[in-house]
Amino acid sequence: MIKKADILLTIGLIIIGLVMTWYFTIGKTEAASLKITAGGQVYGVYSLDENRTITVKQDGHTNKITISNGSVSMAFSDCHGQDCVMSHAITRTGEQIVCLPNKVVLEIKGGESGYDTISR
Amino acid sequence: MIPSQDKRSGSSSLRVAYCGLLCALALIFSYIEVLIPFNIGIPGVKLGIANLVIIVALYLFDWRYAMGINLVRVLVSGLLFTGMFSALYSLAGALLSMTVMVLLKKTGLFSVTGISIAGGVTHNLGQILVASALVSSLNMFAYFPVLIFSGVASGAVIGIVAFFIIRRLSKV
Repeated sequence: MIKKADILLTIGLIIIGLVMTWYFTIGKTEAASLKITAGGQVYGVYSLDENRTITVKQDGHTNKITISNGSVSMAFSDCHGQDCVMSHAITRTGEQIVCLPNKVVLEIKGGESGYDTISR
Repeated sequence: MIPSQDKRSGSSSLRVAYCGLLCALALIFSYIEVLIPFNIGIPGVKLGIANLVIIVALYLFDWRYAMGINLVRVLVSGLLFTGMFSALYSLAGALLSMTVMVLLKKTGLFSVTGISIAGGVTHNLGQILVASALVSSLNMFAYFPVLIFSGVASGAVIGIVAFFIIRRLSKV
């Protein structure tokens, strides 16, 4: 009635199921929005779901931020150091890109309830 | 292994009659499945008792007969009970699971239970492929783990039942 291959198949399928569950659970904790702070004040909060370029202008400084496929990076900055442009793209809650000369901080905030991104 | 019946009963009209019977049975099972409120809130989680008939046909006759019964079942139950739109889902699931079941049976490694489990899971896979093609988003695959587990569970139940049915029917 039950052969060895059946049991192997079942175990394999359950493992695939568990791995996919794990994968989607990890995906759930990923960030939902990008908070931009310029000059100590909140400049805006942007969803990571749509790809866009945001230009931040304040105190005569210009920064360009790109959101693409859920990762945020500083595309352009007119500061001297260019540290922010060099830094890695950020994807996860709590990660930051800081441009000190222009006083621009990019920070990823977790969604209010990450579960909704799945159940929606 | 269960002996295939078409070697003993050469009469093809007998087989056609059996196929008609099995088509009717599969349709009734589809209907019963619509009636049973076996619904835990996730679309696609179901018992799949109609697959019982298909597996029995696959073992007692040829895969071509099983495929025919399956197609008739999907189209007619779509017309009668669920609507043509969900018949599209069923059709994708049925074609994929049928192909996988036939191929796995050809390898000779698996018993009825294993083939039924593979059929259950790939039926769900086919449906989710259609669903994600329709909304053109892979987010639908977040459902897939649940559907794997439910497919394994219901496939195992159906497979064990099918084993006993085939054993009795092949004596007839």
